[in-house]
This record gives sequence, C-alpha cells and structure tokens, in this order.
Amino acid sequence: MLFNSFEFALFLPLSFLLYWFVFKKHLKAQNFFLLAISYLFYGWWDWRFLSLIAFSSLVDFIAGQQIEKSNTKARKKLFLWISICTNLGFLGFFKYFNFFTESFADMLNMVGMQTNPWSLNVILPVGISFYTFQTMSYTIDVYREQMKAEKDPIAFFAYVSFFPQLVAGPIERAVNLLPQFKIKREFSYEQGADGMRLILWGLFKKVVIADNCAIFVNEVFANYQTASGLELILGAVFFAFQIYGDFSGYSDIAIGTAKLFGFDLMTNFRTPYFSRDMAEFWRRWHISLSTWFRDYVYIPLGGSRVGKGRAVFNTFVIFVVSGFWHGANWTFIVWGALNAVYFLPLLLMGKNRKNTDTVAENRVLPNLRELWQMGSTFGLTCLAWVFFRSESVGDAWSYILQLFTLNHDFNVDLPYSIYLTLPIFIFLEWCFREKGIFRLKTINRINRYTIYFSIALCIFLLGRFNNQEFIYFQF
Amino acid sequence: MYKFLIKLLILLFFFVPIYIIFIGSVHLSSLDSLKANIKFKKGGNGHLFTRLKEADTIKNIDILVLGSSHAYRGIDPRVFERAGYKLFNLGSSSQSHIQTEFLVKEYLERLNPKIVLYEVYPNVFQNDGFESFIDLASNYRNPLGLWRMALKINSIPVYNTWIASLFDYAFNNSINFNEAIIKKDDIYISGGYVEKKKQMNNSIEELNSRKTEINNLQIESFESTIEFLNKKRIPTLLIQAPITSENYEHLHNRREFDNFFENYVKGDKVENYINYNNQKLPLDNSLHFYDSHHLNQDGVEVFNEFLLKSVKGYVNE
Repeated sequence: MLFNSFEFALFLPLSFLLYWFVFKKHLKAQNFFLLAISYLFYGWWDWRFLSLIAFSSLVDFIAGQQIEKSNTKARKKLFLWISICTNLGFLGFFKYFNFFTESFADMLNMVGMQTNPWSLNVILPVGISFYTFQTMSYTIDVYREQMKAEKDPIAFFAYVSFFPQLVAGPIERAVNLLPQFKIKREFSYEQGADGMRLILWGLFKKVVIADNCAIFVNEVFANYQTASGLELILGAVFFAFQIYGDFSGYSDIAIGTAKLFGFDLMTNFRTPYFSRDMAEFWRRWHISLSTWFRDYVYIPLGGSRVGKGRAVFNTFVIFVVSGFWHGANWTFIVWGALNAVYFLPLLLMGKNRKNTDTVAENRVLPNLRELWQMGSTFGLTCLAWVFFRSESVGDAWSYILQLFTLNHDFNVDLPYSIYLTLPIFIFLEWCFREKGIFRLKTINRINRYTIYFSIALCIFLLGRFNNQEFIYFQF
Repeated sequence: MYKFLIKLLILLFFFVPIYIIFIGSVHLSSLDSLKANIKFKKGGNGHLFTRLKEADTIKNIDILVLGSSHAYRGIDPRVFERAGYKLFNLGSSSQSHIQTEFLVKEYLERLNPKIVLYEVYPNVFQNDGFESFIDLASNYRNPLGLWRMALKINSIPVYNTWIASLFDYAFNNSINFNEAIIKKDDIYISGGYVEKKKQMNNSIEELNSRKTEINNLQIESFESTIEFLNKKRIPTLLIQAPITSENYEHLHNRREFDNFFENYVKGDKVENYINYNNQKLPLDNSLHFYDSHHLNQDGVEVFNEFLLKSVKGYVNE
C-alpha cells in the first residue's frame, strides 16, 4: 500500500478511528491492533513476505531473551550472531545473491574463464533493508546491555512491523521506539496536528516535487547520449530534488502518521541541501541510516579516534557499505566511495564538525561565503547522484563526460508545474531549515491556513497521481 | 481527540468548496500551466462532441454500434445505408466498458435500435477507463450524471476534470462551441463515423508481446451492459474488429478472450460472437491499415462488407 494511494487514504482514517475509539483502553489492545494493521499494510503488497517479517521478528525476540538470560559472554555472542546471520542472511539472499554470482562470473570471465552466472529470479521484499536493520539494532543493544530484552511478543512484533516506517524508514532504534510500545498511548492534540502538518508537507514533496521532477529526469537519463550539457546538468540537479522530495517526503508522511498513533519517530532529514560541507550534508541526509552505521559499524571499528590510516579506512568502509546497502549494483558502491572521497579531506583536516549549527541562523539570508559553500556542496552532491541514478558505472561515467560538452541546446519539455513549484519549495525549505514545517506554528493563523490550503491545492492541481512508487522502496 | 476531529472537519468543510471553486476558476482561466491535473478537452481526438450532438437529434435506428476507436473508425454507416440500414456509431476513443455502460443506458431508449454491435477489443478490458472518461466528461451534454463513473475510476485528475466539466456546463460553454468536421486526416461522417484515408507509414511500429490483464471493474460494467441489453430485449452481437495479424499474434491470451466471449453466446446472453481476426479477411497491412490496430477507409470497406453479411440476418429477424 503506497502512502500516495487511495487505499491508504481510506486505510489511515479508518485505522486511526478504530485505534482511538475501539482499542484505546488497554495497551495490549492498542499494540495488537497496530500489529494487525501493520501486517495488513505490508500484506497488501505481497502477503507471502509477511512470513519473512514474522520469522525475523521471532528470531530476534528469542535471541534478545536468550542474550539477556545467558551467563557467559560466549553464549550471548552466539545468540547475537544467530540474530545477525538470520537478518543479514535474508538480506543477502533476497538482495545481493544475484549481484555476487554475476560479479563473480564477470571476474572469472575477465581472467579468461568463461562461466555463466547462476542467477535466481528473486523478488526483493519491500522494506527488507529497513526492517532487518531495525530489528538488528534491538539484539545489538540488548547484547550491549543498553536495553532490557522485550518480554511481550506482541509489543516486539508490533515494533518490528510498525507500518508507518516499515517499508522505507526512518530506521528506528529499539531504545527509542520499543519503549513507546510499553506505555499506553493517549491522544495529544498537538501531536496529532503536527502529524497532519508533516503528512501534508510530505505528500507535497512526493507528488508535486519528486514525481514532477521524475518526468524530466527519466527522459534525460534514458537518452543521455543525445542530451546536451545543459540538459544533463539539469537532469542531475532535478534528480537531486526528486530523490530528496521522494525520500524525505516518505519520511515526513511516516513520522506524521506515527504521530497520529501517538508515536514519535526520529527526524530523518534536516534540509540537507543547505549544508555548507559534505560532513554537514551527511549529518542531515538519511539521518537514521547514517547514525545506524555510525553506532553499529563505524564506532565498533574504532571510529576516528584511531590512527589516520585506520580512520581513513573506517570512513571508506562506512561510506561504501552505506552505498551497498542501497542496492546490489556497483553504481551504489561508487556513489558511496565518492562521498567518502568528498568527506575524507574534512576528516583529515579536522574540519568535519565545523558546521554543526544551521546555516544563516537567526538571519533571513545567507552571506556570500555561505552561499558559495552551499552551492559547491550541492554541486558535489549532484555529481555523486549521477552514479546513484545511472544503470551502470559506465553509463554514469559517460553521462559525466558528456556533461562538460559545450552543447547547451535545450529540447526537453519541462513540466510547467516544476517552474512554478520548485522555487516555492526551495523558498519554503529555506524558511523551514531550523524547525521544519513546525515553523508554521509560529506565524499568525490566517497566513498559516493560507499556506496549508495552498499546499493542499498544489497537491490536487499539480501533483502526479499515477501511483508512482517511492524510490527507496527498492532498497 | 474530539477537538482534533472537529477541527479537521471544519478544515475539510472550508477546503472542499475552495478546492471546487479553485479547480473551476483555473479551468475557465487561461492558466494552462496550472492544468496538469485538469485534462478537460472539448472536441478532443475522436469527434465525440459532434457524435453525441448528432445522437441527440436522431431516433429509431436499425443498428447501434458500441466500443472503442475500432468501432467509430471501423464501422462506416454509409456501407450499411447502401444496404438499407440506418446505423449509428456510439463508439469513442478508448471507450472502456464503464463508459459503454453509461452511454448505452443514456441513449438506448432514444435510438431504439433493432440490434447492437458491441465491439470488444481485449485491450480495453485492462483499461482503467481514465482516457475515455476525460473524453466523455469534456464532450457530454450533462456531465452531472458522470459522478458515479468518476467514483468508479477514482483518481484525482478524474475528479478535477469532472469538476471542470461541471463549470463548463454551468457556464454554457458548449453552446458556442463548434467542432471542426475535418481534423488533420480525420473526417467526421454523419452517423458517428470517423473516416481516415491515410495508409500505414513506413516506420514500423514496435510491438511488444503482451498478455491483457483484466480489470474487474471493466468486467462488471461489461456484464451490466449485456444484462441491460437483455432486459431491453435488444439482440447483441459481440465483434472483434480486425487488427494487423502481427499485432493480434502478440496478444498471448487471445484464445482465452475468445472462450470468454463465446461463453456469453452459449449462455444465451448474446446472439453471436465474431472475431474478424480469425476470419481470414482479404486485408493487407500496408494497404488497409493506418496503424497496427486501425483500419483505413479501404480496410473499412472490405471489413464492413463482411460485417454486413453477418449482421443482415439478425436485423431482418
């Protein structure tokens, strides 16, 4: 079920009313209902893969308890590895099996041994990269004794499958989300209203910004061989907006929906395109994944508090693994590596934590220096997005080479709605850079509602409604 | 909780009229850049405006034709008129069964045909009805009655277009509208037909092997139309107009469709089902078609002679 579908437009209010009017009295009933609707939400796409979530949840539920019960470190480790191997095993099989066999066959072919890769026609279960990471965080935290093992299976299963963030995040930590399943939720007007604001803004980002940009982006990337330099530059820039609108839009809807059910999820994006360097960008882009890798991979590897050589290695590992997490294709690995190359000079010069505040804080406009910093960071990001979007590394490389041609013809039809909405979107994002959409709460009522109504009208008038899937579903 | 719900309802209460007025105003304005989701196009492709206008003026015909562009571009009333039959073609572009059901219920009583020729192109069964709805909402005299169809198709551009058509109706925009009889290669012929003399150009259309997936809404409407015609005791003939043999062979489940339609004959729900793609008509792709699934005028003449022979018996009964 897509957030931008009519099914969801019925599912959400119905679930909301049942949750607060029928199942509100007991915590267990609330959790049971959430579990049921989460499975219904996921099963709408393909009910067969419900068994995968259920199995993954069961393994981690048992593993968590066994880790806590175990007296010896070795036994604790054994159950931790059972959990990790099960989750990564599923992920590896469904997502990476063909990539490894094909890459292995390519390698053999390169050294003259002709082989045909043994590939399987495997369907990638939606959201597998998200929920496996979420459930792994639980067993790791229990192992590290950062939290107690969960005794209530319903609460635990509901935590793993919580529908707003099940298929595309934010990847929640057990320490943050699981305790919320242990307290009976009471409806809060403020939380509900914030949820609605986020849903509205998320929908705008998805159906107006991302899906309109997609029309132009798809055309340019499909015909990049014949496109002019200007078209290719715009293709990369628009893809930057497409993927941001798509993914942050999904996150906003997910966080907003969770709020309607009394849950607070972590922020996943904080206006990343207003970053002044790549380190800041990575503190603002897909925060739930970056911090997951930081906490569960980077820091255990030693982080940056090691020798310079080791710190460079750790950084590379984290970026490449993060790239690979996105998909079984060399393009994602190169994208990750390129971002590591962007990031490393800052790390080595000790400037990676220089810009931890918000740009132009307490000012209306940025100064020239900030403008240059934001522009150059955005430019580098767009260049890396070319690898992310292309079918192969070769395609991406040709795209980039072609980008520098002097031909500046412009023959692609841009949807009018983009001319109209993109500047407004950038302006609003600039206004929201500190407090997000909640900034609107501080302006007077008439202006506030005018903005809400205008956003809603834009959605109905200029949005794309062909049930366009969210890009991150494929990850 | 109640405060939240009440506030939501109040917002909705204000938003709905603002939305409707806004859509209407944008439609009536020349702000084309804001019309991405308002697909209204009066007198669009297929001459539906003129066809429906003509349908409002005629009565008591012999043969009524329903279906997609294969119907209104494939069955020429002049061929039937030469044989003494009065035929009217109520086909429209991509007319799906949802629209056929509506049109037949609106026009059957007035046209009062002796027989109905229902053209059933398998691809239409997978159609969501969107394109044809837009055509109908833009060109039908009273779009108010289309609300049920809009709900059935259920998409934002459909609702927006329907609202736009209501404003168009309210402002009497149809009164001063005159659709051109000749549009590029298309000539509207009295009786609902659109003639095209063009031959297939040399560029070969790329055909993909396909399996037509059935949309249940289309089946529902198809069955409802057949049931309605049965109730009115109008004999119905299901036909598949010829398309190029290459295109027809690319449809994997063509036999399933034949069986599906033949079951209606066996169940005495329709008089007969004739698939002219299985009839070995003397049609040549380069001479008788203008694209992979539409006959040109020469092809129509050939096809209609065969169709006439099949239909004669039923009309004379």
